[in-house]
Amino acid sequence: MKRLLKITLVLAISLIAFGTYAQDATHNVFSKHTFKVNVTDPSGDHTGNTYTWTVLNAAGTAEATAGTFSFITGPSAVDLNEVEIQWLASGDYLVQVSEQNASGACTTLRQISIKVDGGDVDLLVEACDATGTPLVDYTATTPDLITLSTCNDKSGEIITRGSDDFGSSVRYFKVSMTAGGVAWIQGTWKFDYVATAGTVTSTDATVGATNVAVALGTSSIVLKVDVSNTPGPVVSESINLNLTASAVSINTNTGDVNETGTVDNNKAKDAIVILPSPKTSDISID
Amino acid sequence: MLKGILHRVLILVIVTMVALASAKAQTPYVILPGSTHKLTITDHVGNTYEWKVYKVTDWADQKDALLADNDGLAGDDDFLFVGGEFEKAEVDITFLNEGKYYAIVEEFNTGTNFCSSRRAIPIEVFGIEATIAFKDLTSDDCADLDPQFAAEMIAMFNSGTELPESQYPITVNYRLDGDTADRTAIVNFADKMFQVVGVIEDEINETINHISIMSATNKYGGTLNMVSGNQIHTRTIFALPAKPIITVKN
Repeated sequence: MKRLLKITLVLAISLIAFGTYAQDATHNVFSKHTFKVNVTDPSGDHTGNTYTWTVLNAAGTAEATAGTFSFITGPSAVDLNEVEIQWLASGDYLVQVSEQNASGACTTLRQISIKVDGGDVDLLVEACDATGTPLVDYTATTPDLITLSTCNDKSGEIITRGSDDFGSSVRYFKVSMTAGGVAWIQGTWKFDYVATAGTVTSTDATVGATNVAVALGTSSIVLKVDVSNTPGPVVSESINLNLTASAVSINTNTGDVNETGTVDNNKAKDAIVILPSPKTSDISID
Repeated sequence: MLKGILHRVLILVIVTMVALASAKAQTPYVILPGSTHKLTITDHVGNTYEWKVYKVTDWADQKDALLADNDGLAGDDDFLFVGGEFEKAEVDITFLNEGKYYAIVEEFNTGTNFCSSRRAIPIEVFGIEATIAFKDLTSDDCADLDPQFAAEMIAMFNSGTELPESQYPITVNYRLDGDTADRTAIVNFADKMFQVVGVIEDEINETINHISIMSATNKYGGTLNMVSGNQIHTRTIFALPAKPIITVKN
């Protein structure tokens, strides 16, 4: 009986292993990939042959559902031995190419099985320093929030005589985009934002009055917020600074895909606190 | 073309305004050596304060380059915090020596965040620029048994500027011939007259009185220097003629 159990277990593991091995590759949803044939064929590039690429369901019995993938290049042309496909939904697929001789109707089929992992389009906003390093490590048992509360940038500096300009403070937010659980670099992305105070700029993205557009190839950006200081004698005059993103989307080959992840992360978990300096008057002398 | 000219004019105006603003910001408050001044900022209950004074060689120098052992609390400093008090919103500072100074106060918020603001004021302490002198070095009168008279004084802030009203009254310490201690008189801005008391009036013999200014200070205790040759006033009291005896002839 015990021996039978062992055999069953080994068989089950083997089947699982075989099932896993059956997938030729695993891709993330929304990722883009290039598929090629004959690139290293010693007989040459098969010039003049016609290639027809298709994406099939896992069983290979029909074309995959429309909208689950997109050909960025292709799918059919003479000498088209390379195409680029973007996955738009999780699932199991077969990518098939049919190569037809230039001289006739004879064809050869090749297939590759692809597993596409699921995942969200998800934006994350974090308070960070100028280099993008988050100010708080929320993976710690007790996150140290004190790093969020600091004196304004003008603290301790001499205020220009005759002026009541108490300067401004600069704080930063890191905004990261993931799709399918990985950093999104395969397309542009954008979002609207509202900051509780200050003016938002960035050298990493195009920042408008209420929206941000990020170029292809960049998965995270640092937004700089310049806030006028509000001097006062009491701590309650602190500035609570946060930035909330909305209308988040990534751009795929078939258009924009809106955020599906946890929108709670669309603003920093805890606000940055800019502590005020005293509203020291000019010195009078007699 | 016109647009280019307008653009240049605009830039010139902006540059001029910035330059004027900078110049204004650097204008020091000028005081006399030895004077004590009250420096004040608005008091915010619960906040703490710390004053420092920095001596610089040039106004463009770093304001807070503190000279060693020049904290205003020891006897050999260039300045002194009166009563050793430098942690209030209002302090009195005596500036002892000629030089350029920045008085800087740092105010700390109440609580535990220790955020602060600092304010600075440039202060220039004159050397011997401010002076006082008799307008006239001599005067005379007939003996009338009134031992006092008034002499007009000229007090100058520097060579081209009269001492402003804000610096009055002036306290003058002086001596008459034979004095072993100073006498004191007050000179007001309104008439600038120095009331001298103790002149010898002798109806019989002509008397020459010398009034020597020993020292003079402005309202704040700052030193006004004597103008060499003009610190002594000579007051001549003429004797009266022998009183004739009127006789009746018929």
